[in-house]
Amino acid sequence: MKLFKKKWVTGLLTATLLGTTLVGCSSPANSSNAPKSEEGTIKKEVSKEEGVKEKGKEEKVLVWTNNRHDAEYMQQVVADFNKKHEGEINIEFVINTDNYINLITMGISSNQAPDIFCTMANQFDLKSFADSNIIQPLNPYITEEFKQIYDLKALSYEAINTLGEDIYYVPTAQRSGNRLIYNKELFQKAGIAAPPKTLPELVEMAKKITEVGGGVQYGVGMPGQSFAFSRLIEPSAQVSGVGPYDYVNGKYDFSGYKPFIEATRQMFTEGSMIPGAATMKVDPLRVQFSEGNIGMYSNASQEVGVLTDQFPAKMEWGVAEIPSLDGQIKGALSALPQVGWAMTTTVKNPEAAWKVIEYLSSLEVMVGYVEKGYSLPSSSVVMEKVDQSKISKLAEFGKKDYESVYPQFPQVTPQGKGWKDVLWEACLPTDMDIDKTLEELTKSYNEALDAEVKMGKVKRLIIKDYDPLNFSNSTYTYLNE
Amino acid sequence: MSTLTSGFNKYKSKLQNSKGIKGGWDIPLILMMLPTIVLLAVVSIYPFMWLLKYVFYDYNGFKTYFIGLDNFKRVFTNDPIYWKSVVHTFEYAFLKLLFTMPISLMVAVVLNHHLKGKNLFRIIFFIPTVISAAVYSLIFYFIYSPYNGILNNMLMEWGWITAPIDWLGSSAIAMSSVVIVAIWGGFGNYMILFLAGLQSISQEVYESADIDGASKVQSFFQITIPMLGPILKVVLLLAITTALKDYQSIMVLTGGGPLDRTQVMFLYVYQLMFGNENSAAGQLQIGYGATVGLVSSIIIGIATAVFLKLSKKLDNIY
Repeated sequence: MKLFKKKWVTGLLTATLLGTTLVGCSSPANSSNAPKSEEGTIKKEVSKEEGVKEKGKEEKVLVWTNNRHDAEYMQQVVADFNKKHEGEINIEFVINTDNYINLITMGISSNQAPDIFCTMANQFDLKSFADSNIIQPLNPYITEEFKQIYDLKALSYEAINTLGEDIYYVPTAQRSGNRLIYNKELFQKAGIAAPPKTLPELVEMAKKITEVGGGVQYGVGMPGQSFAFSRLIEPSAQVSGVGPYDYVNGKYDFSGYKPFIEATRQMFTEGSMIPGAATMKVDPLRVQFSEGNIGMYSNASQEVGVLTDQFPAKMEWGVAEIPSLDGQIKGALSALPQVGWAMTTTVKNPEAAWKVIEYLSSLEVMVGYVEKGYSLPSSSVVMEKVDQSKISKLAEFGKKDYESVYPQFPQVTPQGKGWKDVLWEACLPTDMDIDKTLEELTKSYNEALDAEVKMGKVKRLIIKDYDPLNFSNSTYTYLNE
Repeated sequence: MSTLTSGFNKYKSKLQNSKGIKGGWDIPLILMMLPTIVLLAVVSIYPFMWLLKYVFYDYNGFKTYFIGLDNFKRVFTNDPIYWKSVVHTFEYAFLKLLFTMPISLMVAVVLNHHLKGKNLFRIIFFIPTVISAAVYSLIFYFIYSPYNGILNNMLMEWGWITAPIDWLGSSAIAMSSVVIVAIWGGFGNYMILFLAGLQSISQEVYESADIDGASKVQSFFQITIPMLGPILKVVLLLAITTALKDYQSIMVLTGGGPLDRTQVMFLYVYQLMFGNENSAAGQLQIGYGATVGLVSSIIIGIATAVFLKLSKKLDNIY
């Protein structure tokens, strides 16, 4: 009898344990009613009833962003919206910075995706996202009022935010092309009158600053662990007419990067680069610049906010144009459309979601956004309303006539490392053979391009009349071979 | 799974044969085992099976392309980075164990004596185990910083070096720097396990040895080490498998660089499956990542089997 009783108690306890465990493992009930297709992607089926708000029920709109620098302002504008629309629409604003795009695709597969997410050019492959029904075109929702603020024709970039007539997001801001950001006091100390116009001048100036820096101040800084290649080297190559893709012949060609790699390697070997650059992340680099220990580094308009609010600079700093190889501008400097709000196919109430997009893109929000120095606007209507006295430093990042949004060349995945990783590693002071590296990189990318075109993953882009300084009127041809 | 089933059947028949329990299923036993089995199936077996399917695909997270055995062909014939990472993984694990094991054992022996404040020391040495690897690695990232880093500043102050050393950026020393962090983060955990083993050795054995005139060193090598055999085997097994799977701290410290000098197997898998923050806008390679993960798991399995074979002697308690 005792044994029987004991067994019952044990059984009861284990059943409780089992029950709680299984409850913990279960997924939230009815997280989404969106139909699921193979591979976890969601089929777009917007019913007529969708979007019709039930009386007295507050619609929740889940919004994701990966921007942290504007968090304080965005949280305030979201709070304002929620207060104004209490009982109707409520925005849940979530900041996800790590593995952002990955989280969105996983969210789609597991029915936990946001209704709207903030995005920018080159963050993901638009065609893959559209083909897989992750995002949906905004055309049915765009209003005349919206069009009055945003010139849709001017802000449509094929394969970046639009596919043919379908617009997937409208960039509300424009990340300027990179600029050379320099410490005026260190320039003066080293007897340098003006910022460099050519890459060899930059190398020379970096050396001079380091020589007078007494082991504390260094000529130049690049963050090895935070897209180092894209900060100064790639923009310098762009304005010199060098890029990774040969648009005329529709294939990759990295051979033009050699002099840029050699110049960077020289700065490493001469000790002009801040120690630790190879493994440095961008924020420690910014801190050292704001402390006055770095002569030059490069980034875009967001540095105004960084050097004003995040790490206030303790010295006078200036902004100059990116130096080219020989002082001539032979190619466009890449400017990227950003802060666009895309709608997923799993959106619960598209009308409510569009209202949120409209609000986040409105003059009310965007004028303040620009005045806070977070970015330049993509719309001239917004720019006209901005109090110019509030953006004096940001104005130095203003659009140059040679800045443009590059045509999106096919994004392939080679067997081996990504091209920016390989080119950055070639810049480090090692005995890596630059010619051989560039040759192998070109080969591996073209092999991947051929294979992926054959598989139907990407299309080969050819622009026969490609002009590196002006491609707005070029003819794009997409090939399946 | 089959081992589990056969073990369960053996236990069941043992119960049935014993006095008082006749036939039928032992419900409490099954209920007690079920949560573990369910969790194992849900969070371990199912994801593994799910992943296994993708070794034959090119999969970027939302679209699959069947490519047959191409992923295996790439691993075995055209991926020098991976094989470099395999070598680095074993180098890292060997160096980590080489220092962690003796240090843990020595500290455990010292703290097993009646010392003042021994509990405080035990807590202090165990703290790294409960701190997230990402957090303490970030602290070490700043300690190692070549510019204004505490370590360089101290060494320069003492006159041991004249110029700052790039601890994480130099190919020659990056691996050593990473291993130092691993030793700091790992030895406390093994120290606790050794302490548990030491406390299970009867004091009478030491007293007998003392009466026989054995010195402390003799007692250590002739009594402590042999009697720690079984626990040593478990600790070594745990240490080897953990070291071969380590990647979090390396990801924070060097991201596998410079020039892949600290690239290890599972960091490489992570970068293929979840992307590399520093990389160009390439797509995720989940199919290939699954293949590399599978091959890596087999390598670790082989290493573990070899260890178990070689360490059979440690089971013999004197």
